[in-house]
Amino acid sequence: MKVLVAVKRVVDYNVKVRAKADGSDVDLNNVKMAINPFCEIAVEEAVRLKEKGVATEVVVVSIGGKTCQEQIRTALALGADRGIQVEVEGNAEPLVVAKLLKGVVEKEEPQLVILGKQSIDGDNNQTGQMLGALTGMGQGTFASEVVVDGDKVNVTREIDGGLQTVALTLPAIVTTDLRLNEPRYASLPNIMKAKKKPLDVLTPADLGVEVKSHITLLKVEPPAERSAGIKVADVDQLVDKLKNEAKVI
Amino acid sequence: MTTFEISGADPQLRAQLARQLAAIIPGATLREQVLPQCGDLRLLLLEDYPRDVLDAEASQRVMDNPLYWVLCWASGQVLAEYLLDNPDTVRGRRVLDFGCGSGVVAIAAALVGAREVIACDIDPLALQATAYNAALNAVDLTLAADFEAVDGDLDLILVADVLYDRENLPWLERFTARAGQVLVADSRIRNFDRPPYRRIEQRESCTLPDLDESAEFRFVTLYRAGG
Repeated sequence: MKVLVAVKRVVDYNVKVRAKADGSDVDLNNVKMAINPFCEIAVEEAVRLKEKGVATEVVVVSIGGKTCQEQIRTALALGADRGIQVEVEGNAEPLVVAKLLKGVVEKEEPQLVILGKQSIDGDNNQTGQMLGALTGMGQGTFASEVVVDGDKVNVTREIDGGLQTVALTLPAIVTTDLRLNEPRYASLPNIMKAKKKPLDVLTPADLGVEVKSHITLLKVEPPAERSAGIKVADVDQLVDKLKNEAKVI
Repeated sequence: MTTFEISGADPQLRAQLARQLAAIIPGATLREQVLPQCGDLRLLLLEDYPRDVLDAEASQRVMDNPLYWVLCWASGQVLAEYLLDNPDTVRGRRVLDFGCGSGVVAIAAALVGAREVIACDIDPLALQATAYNAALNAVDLTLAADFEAVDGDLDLILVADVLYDRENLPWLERFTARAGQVLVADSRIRNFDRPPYRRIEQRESCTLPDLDESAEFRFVTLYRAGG
């Protein structure tokens, strides 16, 4: 069974993100970039499926400029077999990404597509669902457990009220939630191997997709700064302030 | 463990390489090793290294540094073996090894009597390792960091395992424009159909130290253009 995993290059989760002075966007100058954490969980899940003998090949795809090859190589170092970069300038929006991924799905014909549930830059949480709609494949989103069983995959989903398990007929789409697994670090041999694993570059034209923009970013501004707190003299004063100023008790 | 006479090789250069490697991968060490398929040919290669996973920073350093010279890749070993088996391919000729890494192919060419061997790599550490390994095998090589800056006629260009990066494919045409003959060893491209390159044969090998790469990368195909 072939598994396709999508990974996105995003600002590293440890970085304190700042808006550009002119408010036109987030400032990504000299900022550390990494694989989106949810995508890393997707890679880990695919590699575990391969280690269990369920998956035979793990293909990792990323959409972006040449720099996203770094994230593809990182995924290859975690155990994916080969990479595909779809060359797109700038930050493609979810619908375009979903259309490009549909093109890759048609080309590669994977039985399972695993994506992160959302990326920590845009926090859109749309691409997996859109890909499901475009391809007509079943989708199990927010997965905390994935069990392949013959021609089905059982996906345990994290929903507001608890857990829900859905059975999807393969081929299917899974998006990962935080508790699905804990991604590994790579070992030296695996990183050295990853440097020479095959990495093909495709253009949107190769996939028959026109890259268009449907969304305009108007402004990015930091949240209002929190004003300083105060010290209270005793419990009575605290209760008084909570009751009469904050009006929370 | 076998120890080797390394009188020809520069101990200071060896120490320098070991230091630079340890700065990238703490705990990694180097040792002179005889290649299983190439007679007495020996190279300074990775010996010990951290067996556990690397932390994020060390991983990043390994990603950012080429470090290809710490291993002898299957394609390099196969091309070196082919030259040792077929000395007429290089004897008396002016030869360039493109992307030499540890220098294995260049050294094999020099061992079987090439008139001059130019070892070319954009990684300065690879050139230092190649210089050390050349002395270790008592051969003379010319080192070059820039292919375009190499003067004079070339009879043969040797290319082992550089096509893993598809961006290197256009080099194939530059090679045939630059030299009368080109020999390519590759296991990374499945359907290699690029005339005038013709398949000669396939040989099996593995990376040293063995990375346990997938089986397909153990089968190295040799291609020739010209001659």
